[in-house]
Amino acid sequence: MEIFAYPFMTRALIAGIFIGISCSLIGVFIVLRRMAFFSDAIAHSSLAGVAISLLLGANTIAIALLFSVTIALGIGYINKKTPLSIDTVIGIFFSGAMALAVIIISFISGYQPDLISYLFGNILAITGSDLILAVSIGIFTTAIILALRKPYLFLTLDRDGARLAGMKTTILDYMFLALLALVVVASIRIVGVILVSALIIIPPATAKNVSKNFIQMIYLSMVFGVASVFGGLVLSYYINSPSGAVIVLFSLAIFVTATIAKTLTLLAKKRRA
Amino acid sequence: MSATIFIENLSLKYGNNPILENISLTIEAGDLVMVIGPNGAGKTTLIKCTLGLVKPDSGTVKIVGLKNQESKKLKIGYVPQKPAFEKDFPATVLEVLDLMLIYQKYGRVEKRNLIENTIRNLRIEKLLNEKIGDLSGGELQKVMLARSILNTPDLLVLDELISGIDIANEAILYSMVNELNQNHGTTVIMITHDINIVYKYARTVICLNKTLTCKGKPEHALTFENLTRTYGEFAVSYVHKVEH
Repeated sequence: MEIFAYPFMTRALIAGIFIGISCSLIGVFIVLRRMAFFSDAIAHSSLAGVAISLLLGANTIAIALLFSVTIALGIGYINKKTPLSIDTVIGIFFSGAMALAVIIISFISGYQPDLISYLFGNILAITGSDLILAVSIGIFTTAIILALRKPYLFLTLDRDGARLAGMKTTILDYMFLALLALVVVASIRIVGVILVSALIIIPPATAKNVSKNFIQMIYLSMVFGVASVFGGLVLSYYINSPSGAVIVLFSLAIFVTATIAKTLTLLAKKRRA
Repeated sequence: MSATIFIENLSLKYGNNPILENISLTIEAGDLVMVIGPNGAGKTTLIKCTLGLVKPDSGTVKIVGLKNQESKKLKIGYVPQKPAFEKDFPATVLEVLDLMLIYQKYGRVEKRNLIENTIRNLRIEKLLNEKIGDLSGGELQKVMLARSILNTPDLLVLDELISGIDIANEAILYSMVNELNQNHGTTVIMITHDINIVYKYARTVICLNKTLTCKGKPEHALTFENLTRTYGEFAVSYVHKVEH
């Protein structure tokens, strides 16, 4: 295929596969723990980090990562230490980080193509170091989440039971938040700040709809995640549109197709019965 | 191994509303204790404080497990009043049961046998590959009990276990809990609203209405005075009228 002849496209596809796997894998627990708003907040918070780095001329990914991890752990800490509900705490941090990002962006003079590419994703902007970052974070987060899938399932299913079984639930919680921040920051080059949470939520939601058990949900989620990124990137190349938006729409198309197929299968089963 | 529980001066308020007031009691190793009291008496809160799931305002709880005179890490089984599972959770009964054994040193076959034996005893073997979200309330309660007794706990805590369970299955559940208590020395604490069940199975009854209103063998502790202190004069006289 012609698109594989371009080095930028090859970089985007390789990075995309690893991002697709790590986003959809951590997304399984985001969906099951009903934390969709949380992943959105972390993604939007990273924009403040991106803006600071552009203002200072510093390393964007490092600053965005620092900012996202701090916000993620901050939300977790305030949630544990105050009687405020999690959505209220997220709302406070989310709006605060966004307001900070807008103010910092207003100090940056002139047109900022880099900022636009971080907002909506840009496959042309993926450098060799972005690729290395995406692959290493992808392997690191996937390995940890797969290794800890049972403790995290236990924690998601029954927090009190997990504590009584001797699990270090607080450490596992903070670790999960830090992993989420890592995955978000590694993905913003391709999918963009605005849409990265869709890649974390839609493939696992699709998998949840069609899975017979938890382990099937994990594998199907990764398959749908990779298919969304791969299909979306190729399509975005041909229709010349922002990669992030096309990936999300591709992922949405898989969700709609799988849901219709599931509904039709259930109807057919009912008719046979 | 059994667990002995020492509770001293336990108090807890939610806002200005006292939930538990200065509770002190000891639950002996291997005892089968039933906790009774009206709604809002603090039964579930007492259990959660005992298990360390809710932090009291004051007082202490100490759970000690001894095996050959040495202190060991306790295995605790807990069935909450409301199952913690979300209705649409995509895990099967097998996956849920398997989770209880992740920190136990069992081989794959040993794990499978243990799960199969437990669910056979509870007569829920057909549910093994069902999604937990597809189970009825009673089936889910049985799965929760299976999960809590799977690794032969030293302490088993059951918060209104039989809500939603028919009388035939109720007998099976009680006989399993009784067997665990008798044969393995598991200390059992159950919250119930059924006084007949207390007389039938409990060796010790604890009456609670924010404060401790009675504790002892059911035949000695469940006097008219103690029940009046626990449930109030009107409620006890009403029950008395209905029974006669």
